[in-house]
Amino acid sequence: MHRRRVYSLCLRMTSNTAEAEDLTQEAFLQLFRKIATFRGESAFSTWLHRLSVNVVLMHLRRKGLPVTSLEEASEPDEEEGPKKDFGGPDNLLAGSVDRVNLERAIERLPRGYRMVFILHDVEGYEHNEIAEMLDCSIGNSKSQLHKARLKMRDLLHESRGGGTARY
Amino acid sequence: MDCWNLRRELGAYLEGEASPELVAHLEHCRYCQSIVEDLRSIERAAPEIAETFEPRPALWKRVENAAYAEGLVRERPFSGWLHDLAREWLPLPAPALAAAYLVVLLIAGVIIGFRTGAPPLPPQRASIPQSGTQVDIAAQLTNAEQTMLAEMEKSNPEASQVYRDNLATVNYYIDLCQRTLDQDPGNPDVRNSLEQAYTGKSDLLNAMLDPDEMGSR
Repeated sequence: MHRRRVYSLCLRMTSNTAEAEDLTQEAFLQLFRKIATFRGESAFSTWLHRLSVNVVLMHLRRKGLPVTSLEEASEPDEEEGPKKDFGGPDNLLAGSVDRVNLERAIERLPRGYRMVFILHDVEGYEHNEIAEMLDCSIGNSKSQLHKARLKMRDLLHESRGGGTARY
Repeated sequence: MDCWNLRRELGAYLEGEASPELVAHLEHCRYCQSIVEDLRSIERAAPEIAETFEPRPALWKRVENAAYAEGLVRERPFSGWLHDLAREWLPLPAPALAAAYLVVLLIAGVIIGFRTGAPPLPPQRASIPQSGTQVDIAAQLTNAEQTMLAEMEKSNPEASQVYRDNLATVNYYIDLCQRTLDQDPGNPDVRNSLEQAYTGKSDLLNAMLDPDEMGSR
């Protein structure tokens, strides 16, 4: 469970199997190095996963890759305006989302959106925790998550051959 | 209030912080209702993929060696809860990806032979395919997969869906490894990951060929 969870997190955040392996190794080495500091205030899995997130974020920052983006925090689709008629239902996903299409869509998200989406929707962190991890405001975390989900919906619709689902 | 201007507020609605105007709008706008449903579908599906990918077993050995070299652990195997953690890392088969460790192109050869009457591919062909042969075999393999899934769908739709989902996951991982390898062709770890992914695929194909045998492993 832990191994898959940590490796999946690293792979999803980097989209690179070699980097994911290196980061998984680093996460578990950090675990061994820091185990003495584990106070049992949270579940062990919570502690390990948080440590893994920090390893990945530190790696991305060291590479000079922003984990949040001010540009992405703006309204990327705003100037494009509504793209379709309103009024009728447009339930694109029919209540179910195929996991492979979900993975592909996550991979195609802009990095800033991807980080927040993975941390909140996949890993289950709260906005205040994400704001602390990414060094951004809670509002920014919420805003990016919402835009990430809208973008995901768009990408999932594309994967079903339906073109763009943007408003 | 129109749908376009409401787009920013739908996020707040999902967080339980919607304005009365938005709530009123959603009561009669089927279009915005469907958007909310889609966003909820994504939100529901996302946690289910948290543990999708299986690291190759060699990675744990690497971690173990590095921890040992650094003096972080004194002996192998690890003791206490570290031992449990280590044991958990070992390549225990996931239920739907039970280990069969046959090489994928050998299995592909069996399937192709099974479908076409041609003899199975010889074992020496059982490696990561290269050049134009790869395209032919990959196409035949995809065709064989789809045919087998379609046949299984008739007799056992539930199992068919499990295999379909797992094959899709393995194929996605193969694709991801292949793209990583394209960026870094000389990286032996990525090549090993790709081989591992093909091995995982062979497990599934083998299980589809002989589900009773796989169930007894």
